[in-house]
Amino acid sequence: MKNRLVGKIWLGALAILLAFAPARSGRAHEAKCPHCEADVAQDTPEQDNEVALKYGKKRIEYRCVMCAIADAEKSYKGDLKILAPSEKKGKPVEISRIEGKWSAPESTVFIGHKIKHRYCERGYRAFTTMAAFTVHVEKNKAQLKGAKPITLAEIVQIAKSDVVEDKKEK
Amino acid sequence: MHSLTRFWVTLLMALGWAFSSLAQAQTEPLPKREGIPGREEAPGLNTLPPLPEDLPGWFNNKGKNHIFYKRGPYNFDIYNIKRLAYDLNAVAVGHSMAYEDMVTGKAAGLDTETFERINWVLNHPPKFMPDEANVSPTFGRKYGVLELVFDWTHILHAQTVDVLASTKLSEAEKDREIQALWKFYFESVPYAISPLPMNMAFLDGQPYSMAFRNKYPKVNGLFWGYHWLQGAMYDMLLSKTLPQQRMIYDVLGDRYHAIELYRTNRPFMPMFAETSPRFSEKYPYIANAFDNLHMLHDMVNDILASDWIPEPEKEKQILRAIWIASATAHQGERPGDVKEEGGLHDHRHMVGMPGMGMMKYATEDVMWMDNMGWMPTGDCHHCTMPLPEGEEAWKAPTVSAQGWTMRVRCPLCARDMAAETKGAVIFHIPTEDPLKPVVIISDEQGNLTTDNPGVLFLEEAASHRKCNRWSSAFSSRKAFEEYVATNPEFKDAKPLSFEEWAAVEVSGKKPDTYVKPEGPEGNPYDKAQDDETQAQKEEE
Amino acid sequence: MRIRLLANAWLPLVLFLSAHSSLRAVDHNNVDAGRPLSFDDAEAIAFRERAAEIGTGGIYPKGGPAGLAFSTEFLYGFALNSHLSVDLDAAAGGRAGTPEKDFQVGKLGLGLFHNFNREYGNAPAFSIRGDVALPTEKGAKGVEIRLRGIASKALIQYDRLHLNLDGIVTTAPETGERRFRPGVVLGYSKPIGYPRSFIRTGVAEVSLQTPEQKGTGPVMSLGVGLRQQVTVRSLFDIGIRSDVLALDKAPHEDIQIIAGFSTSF
Repeated sequence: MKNRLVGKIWLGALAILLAFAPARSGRAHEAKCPHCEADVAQDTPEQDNEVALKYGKKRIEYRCVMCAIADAEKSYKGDLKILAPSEKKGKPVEISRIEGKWSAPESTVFIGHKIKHRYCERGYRAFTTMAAFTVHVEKNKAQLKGAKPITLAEIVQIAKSDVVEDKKEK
Repeated sequence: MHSLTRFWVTLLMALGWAFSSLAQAQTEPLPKREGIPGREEAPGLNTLPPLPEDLPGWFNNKGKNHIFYKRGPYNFDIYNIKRLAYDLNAVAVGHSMAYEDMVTGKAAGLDTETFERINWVLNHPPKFMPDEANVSPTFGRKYGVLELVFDWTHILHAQTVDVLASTKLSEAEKDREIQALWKFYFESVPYAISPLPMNMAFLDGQPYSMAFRNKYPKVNGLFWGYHWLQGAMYDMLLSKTLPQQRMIYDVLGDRYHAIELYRTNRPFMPMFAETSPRFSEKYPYIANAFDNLHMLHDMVNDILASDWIPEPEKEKQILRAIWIASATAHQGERPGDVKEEGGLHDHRHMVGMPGMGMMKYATEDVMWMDNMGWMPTGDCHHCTMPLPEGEEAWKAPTVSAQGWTMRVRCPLCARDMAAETKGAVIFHIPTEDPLKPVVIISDEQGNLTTDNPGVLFLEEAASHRKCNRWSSAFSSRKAFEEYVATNPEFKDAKPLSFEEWAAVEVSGKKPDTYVKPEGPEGNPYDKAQDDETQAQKEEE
Repeated sequence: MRIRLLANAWLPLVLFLSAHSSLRAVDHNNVDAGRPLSFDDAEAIAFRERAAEIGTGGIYPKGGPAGLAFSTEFLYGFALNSHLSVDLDAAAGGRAGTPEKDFQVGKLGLGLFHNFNREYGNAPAFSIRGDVALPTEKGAKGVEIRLRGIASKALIQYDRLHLNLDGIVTTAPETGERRFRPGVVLGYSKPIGYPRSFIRTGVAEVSLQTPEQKGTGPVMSLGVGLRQQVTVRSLFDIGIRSDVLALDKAPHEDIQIIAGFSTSF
């Protein structure tokens, strides 16, 4: 009788645990990045990583801001927006391309440090301030040693050359 | 002897001698041996499995044995969708040209000259179906039994497509006729392809496997590209009106010509259930037979492309490949049977997909899909909730984009998934009436159009645990009201018009029920990532 | 007893027509007697296939007025690699070997074709066909029986040779007519337009036939033609033949133009 009771308690506890257990790290909708074909880096509790490109009613996710800009140059005609995660959770930097002209909020700086695509969410990011850029480089100094801040125009240029390389490979 | 008689006797002797000399002199041209730069060491001949000893008599058949296709008012109705009909005509020459070149010593040019030749036909499709045997006569003389097997299954392919494209048959009649075609296919000859799900890791795990795709990636890309079309067209045609079919082929055909034919990075051949999950669910035996046929094509390609296999052994291995794929080899076995796990008699299928054998490096419920990663086969690809099965299976909408077709659980899952997917998308949204599905096309910007602007939607978003209840499509106001009346929790719900439903923008939030699928331990796809992660850690 | 193909005694093959589809494709490359030349290849129509054919031709006999010939045939694949055929021909105007000029319905022909093997390795495909022409023609007696042996063999790759050996027996020959007549046709076929077009086959032949009249020598003919697919189920064919050599005053025709249509269903 006692054993049964203990068993029931265990089962109940297990059920509660399962019910409240978080789903595995939310790498939801496992589509690969349309540009680099690596997994789309997911948001973490500390930092947003998902880059979204909004084109009409489409909302396509990319692995990093450079991939999104590159694919915008390669695959999309017309106006679009890119929501690039910043150093602030839930507050992405909104980059727009309107009539072919790229724009972003004035204080935005980017990191465009050549790095393996697997880690490109660290090497290619947007920041709302220069100070945030410095903090990020310091935090990832092993990979980002010597990284310099770049402008939107510069990261667009890097993305364009990546498209050229991509076409050459194909 | 009378002079005329003497004349005839002399003439006939001369002709007899000339004809027999021709037969002796015309030996098969030997294929040239080609070195493969950088190729890994070839497996030894002792790795080749032996040919079964008790092969049925038809393996030694020397007759032509043509059987006329089943008569019916639907034959050639694929021409209702002319563009698709022409594309399918072009497909007929692909393998034939490659086979002929491989057995006539022209294999070296397969990825160049042969590719160009096939590609030209695919882009200038003939108005009438070419006879494959005419395109590959040398191959046919050498591998006549194989040709017979291919041709017979190709007829089933063509006739099932004709039935689905017919405007003369009702849906019920189409269903009956497809079953009758299967019976005709399966019972008329001893050399039908097995309708059982087969273990793809076994079929693609032979000593010669992957030789063709590694050596001739471009031409293999064409083959897999049109195998993609041959699969994808079934869901496009199933339970659709002719205008819907044409509307879909405008999108599908563009993709076929622009992308699918030229992909060389597919990890595996396109499977029927990946490209036509509804058809595969409804007619698993046909989907399995077509997958097995396509796998037989691949195995034959691999054997012919394996220079380390001598000619006589190639002939044996091709007979063995036919045996493996044949229904004869699996008599008495049933779907789900596992005589030997991972072997010839492993007939398990993927969960929720009776029309797809166990995939390479897959577990029963999750498989690797190109550009998508690990995907569950029995669950919604958007919210991970279980999909309807069996009699209810038709209720699952599908989303076709980027070369795949995936089943989802509700119209909202379909819309969100489409909005999160690059490029044009085709939706199949069932309503309350199985005969009245709605087709929706999304353009590159996510703007939706439909063939049925009168469709109404219920969308009372809540947890995805019940999304199949709170997100539904209805063919009429009456149907909507009946549903609401029988589901009081929605009594205050207002029907959304198509425009209202299509205007809803995706939030970017994951469904609350979503769980990331994981592949099996030690699979090669994850292993590549693990290796890189490890290297990075060491670097740091 | 005579087989009068295109109502012509020295051209015994032309009306043995058949067109057939190979599986789903209407096969212009499977050549059949009469469409448009006189030789057969060694392939039967498919099991359970039905085929219907019509043909017409303009005849220009040596030293006589021009005439017209008509032909119809129905074929049925009654077993694997075997088919039956029923044919009827008619003619009007001039024709070689007979002073007849009126419209005349010819003999009703019944045929049986069997293919023993497909071409494999270096072995040619072999077939045999037997035809009986019934005396349905005005004033005809007895029957005419023809046996034809057929061997088809690839020459290089797409080119094929087709050797047809004929033996014709007339059960009730008229005075001055032969009871047995041998014949031979060597046919050639090649698809035209590969690898970009798949709808037509060119055909050519050289034939030697024995005329019915005793005392006349063999007639040698040459022919060329084209078979072209015109719908998913049908073919059009056109050909031209000429008796280039006729020994010992054998009756012959300067030229014969043939056109036909075949469909399977």
